[in-house]
Amino acid sequence: MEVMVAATIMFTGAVVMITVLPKLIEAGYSRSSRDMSYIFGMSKMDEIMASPYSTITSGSGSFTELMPDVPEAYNFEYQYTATEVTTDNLPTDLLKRVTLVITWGDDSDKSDTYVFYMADKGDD
Amino acid sequence: MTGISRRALRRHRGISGLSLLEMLVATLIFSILMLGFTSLFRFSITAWFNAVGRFGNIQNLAGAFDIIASDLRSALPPYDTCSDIYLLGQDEGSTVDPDLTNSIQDELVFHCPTYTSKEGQFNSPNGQQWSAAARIGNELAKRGYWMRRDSTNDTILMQGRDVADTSDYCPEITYGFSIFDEFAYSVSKFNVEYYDGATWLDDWSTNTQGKLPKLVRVTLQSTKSGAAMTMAYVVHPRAQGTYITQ
Repeated sequence: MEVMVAATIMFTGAVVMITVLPKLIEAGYSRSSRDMSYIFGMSKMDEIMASPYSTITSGSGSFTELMPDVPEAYNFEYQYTATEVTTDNLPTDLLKRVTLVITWGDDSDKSDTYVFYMADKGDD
Repeated sequence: MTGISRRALRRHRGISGLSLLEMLVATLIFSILMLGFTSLFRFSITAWFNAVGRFGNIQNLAGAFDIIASDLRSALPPYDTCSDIYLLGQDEGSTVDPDLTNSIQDELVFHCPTYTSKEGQFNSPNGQQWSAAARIGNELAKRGYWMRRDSTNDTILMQGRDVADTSDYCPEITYGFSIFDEFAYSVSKFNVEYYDGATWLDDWSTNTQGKLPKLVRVTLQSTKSGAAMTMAYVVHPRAQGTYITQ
């Protein structure tokens, strides 16, 4: 009887440990992936900002071209769309609102969204 | 008497005793289970340390990227009447500035308005630190980024350089004493590339190109925790021209 109780306690502990550890590991990876997503997002945002104003419309792809030396670049993808901001007080075609979405993970199930504005600097 | 003893012994054996074979089988099953758990536990711990190492590396790199990206975004473009304002980037093996001592990889020097790591303090020539007031107005800094190998312990460091003494007017710009700060630890790679709008280049000079690069790509490798991690950050220097109104 005592042996059975001891074995039950031991196996319960082991099962809990086996259940919890993968979640902890996943949490660690998830957090570092989110930090990477931020770096990829900021880099893509700067690349978009360096482009001529009229060419900024929409785009999608991976980061392998922008960061060829980064192995993790294969696991992240981007998609962005730019829309002109029109208000009563603002002339048209002077300001764009860019929505940038970074996705990663299995089936791209995780994502971060960045929204920023770009003014026409006359650099076309 | 003998018969009673045998019955008692048989009854006793039937109630609580285990044969050697049963014990061996139980021990074998227990050992197999423990072996499985041990392997699983070892695998989990390894995976856990990998996750922690990955997290430590990305944190290390993110901190370094935040500093250098902030400076690069506000890099000053070349200024016709002041050749002291420039951005110079050299690939490994060449030297931009002799002050970048013990450099072992790429070098990057440029000017930018920035906070300084010794903000609020001002080093006098004899090493004393003056009051915070002496620092006010000295917003412009000459930044140097490079990777330095320390001769005593062979630690690889990257450092940022602040310039303490600058004037408000560009033609009068003067550089004071350099302050060397440790910029990033446990970094084993420092590579900087420059995009001119068509191709990525290993070197850049505003003196010959006449402008800042469209993009600057900084690649670092962190070896802070276990396995190395390589990460890059692409920065767009915002100012593409200087307009003097005074």
